[in-house]
Amino acid sequence: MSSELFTRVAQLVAPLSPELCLLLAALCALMTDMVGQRSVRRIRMVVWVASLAAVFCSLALMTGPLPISLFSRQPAPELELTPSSYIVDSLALSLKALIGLLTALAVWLSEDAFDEERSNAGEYYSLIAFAGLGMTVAVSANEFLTFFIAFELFSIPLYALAAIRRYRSESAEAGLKYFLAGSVSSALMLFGISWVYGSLGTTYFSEFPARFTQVASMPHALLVGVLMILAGLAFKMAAAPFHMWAPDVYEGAPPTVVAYLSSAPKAVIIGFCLRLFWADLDLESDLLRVSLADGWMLVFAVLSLLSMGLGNLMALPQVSLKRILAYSGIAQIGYLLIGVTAAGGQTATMAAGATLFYLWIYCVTNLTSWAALLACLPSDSTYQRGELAGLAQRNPFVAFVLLISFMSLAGVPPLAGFVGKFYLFRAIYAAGMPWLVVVGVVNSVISLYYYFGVLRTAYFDPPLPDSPPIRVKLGVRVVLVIGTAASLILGLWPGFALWSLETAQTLFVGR
Amino acid sequence: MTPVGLQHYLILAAVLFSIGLYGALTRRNAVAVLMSLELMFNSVNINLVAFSHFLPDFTGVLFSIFVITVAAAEVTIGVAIVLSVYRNRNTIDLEQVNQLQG
Repeated sequence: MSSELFTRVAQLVAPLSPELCLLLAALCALMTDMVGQRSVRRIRMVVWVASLAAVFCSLALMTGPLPISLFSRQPAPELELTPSSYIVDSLALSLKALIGLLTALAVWLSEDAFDEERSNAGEYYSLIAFAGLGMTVAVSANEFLTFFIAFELFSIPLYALAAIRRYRSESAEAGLKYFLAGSVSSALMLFGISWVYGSLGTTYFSEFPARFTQVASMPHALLVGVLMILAGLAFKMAAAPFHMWAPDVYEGAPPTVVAYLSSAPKAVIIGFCLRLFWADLDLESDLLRVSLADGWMLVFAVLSLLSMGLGNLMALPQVSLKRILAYSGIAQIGYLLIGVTAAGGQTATMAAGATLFYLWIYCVTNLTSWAALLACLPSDSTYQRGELAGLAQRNPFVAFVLLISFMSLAGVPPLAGFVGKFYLFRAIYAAGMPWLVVVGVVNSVISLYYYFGVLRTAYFDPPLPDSPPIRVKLGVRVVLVIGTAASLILGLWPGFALWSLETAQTLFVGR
Repeated sequence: MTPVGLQHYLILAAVLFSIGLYGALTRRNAVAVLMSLELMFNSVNINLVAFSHFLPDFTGVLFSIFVITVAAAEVTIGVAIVLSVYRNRNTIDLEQVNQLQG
């Protein structure tokens, strides 16, 4: 009897274990901060252990039977399927593993980053854990209400994190700008959701295909709704033309926070786009496949084109490293959107696999680049490119990490970024949009200029006479080693890259 | 006189949303922007409840309750951030709070 109860509880809890790990960590961090002697080291350890546990749980769940639907409601009589608001499938689990890893890396990166306001540490780590929790829930959401709550659950902590150095005016301003852009995007998305709900009569994604046939009379309302949702999502992932906030926020917010908020939310939004737009809006609905699929592909293609073009061109004249990385991030979202575009074509599986693969590479490499800058610049630095002068002599290790991660971001052949981009371009070519391949390649060439500009300063300029010595903290060193190893292994060992790509593809099919 | 139908609610919501969006993009006072945001969230609620009534389906009403709650949380953090900007700059004029640019 009791073992039966245990089994039932385990069946309910096991699929939610990554979320529960992060939830417990967030609560623990808050409690420790309130009652304990405010041991920052202990709080930090709780959060990174929990994040790694979330990664482990996600990977372990992948080996089991999938997908698992949670919180199902009774099937509507006219429908064959059981709609559920929460789905644990391979797409969700691979993104959860990525988010857990990014959270752990962000926590390691934050070692001693908040010395000057030690009383904030507990809040800082619990906010990071809450943001991670929101993201792990968001990638599993299979219904608009769940997604909206999860979306806000990670957005609100990130607003607070951007403004966490509240005694510095630039951090407060970055928080304000991030908050305003983020709230407008939430409101846009919500308004779109209300129209989609109104025209389809349901918020469950799995019910959409069956309902499309009923709304042939009112497709405009649906179109407006979906476009507004897309605009909200584009705002959040800083895709052009909704990218204006990103450089300002990245410049003002603390760099440890930016390393996190410039990578993890993008993974969530790209994963959500794959789930919402291609997995459910199209594949099973003749109406949409015939009338809209090409249209949506074009919308994503234009977003991708604008992001790549604007991001790369605006990065060229920048001298601030933060702004270079911000515009490079906008351009990288363009590459990822190539994959999302391709996922609407006939070769959806290949494209989705390539997108997931590049998402992993980009998020880890981007976080590593921020870690490298954080490691070699003093905490009061303004992140001008000139401050990197002579880095190769002052600290060859950090210079090497910077070299590897920037070359990977630019897509130089022996590295992971190249492999990832190659598969993205292959996917969009197979989907019948060869012109986007040309645009992508041209943009990669443009991006070489500013990535190598930074590396030239680091490798060939003589060090400034009064440069302080560089001491890299243990946590930051761990991040640097992991990120560099990932770029090198995935690039130099194509067999492993192919294996993970195939895994990503079968994962996407397997759901 | 025609009875009040779904489209009346939808038009009201669309107008409110547009006013809110216009305000959020053009107002210089940060608190006024927060109020505009609130207007946008509430227009969503009108939409949801109207759809919920005319579909009929209960999800919309439930959704709007969550929207009210989340909007409150969002505005709370917004006010906190505006307050910390004010402490640093002694102003909440968004055109003057523009140190980061380039």
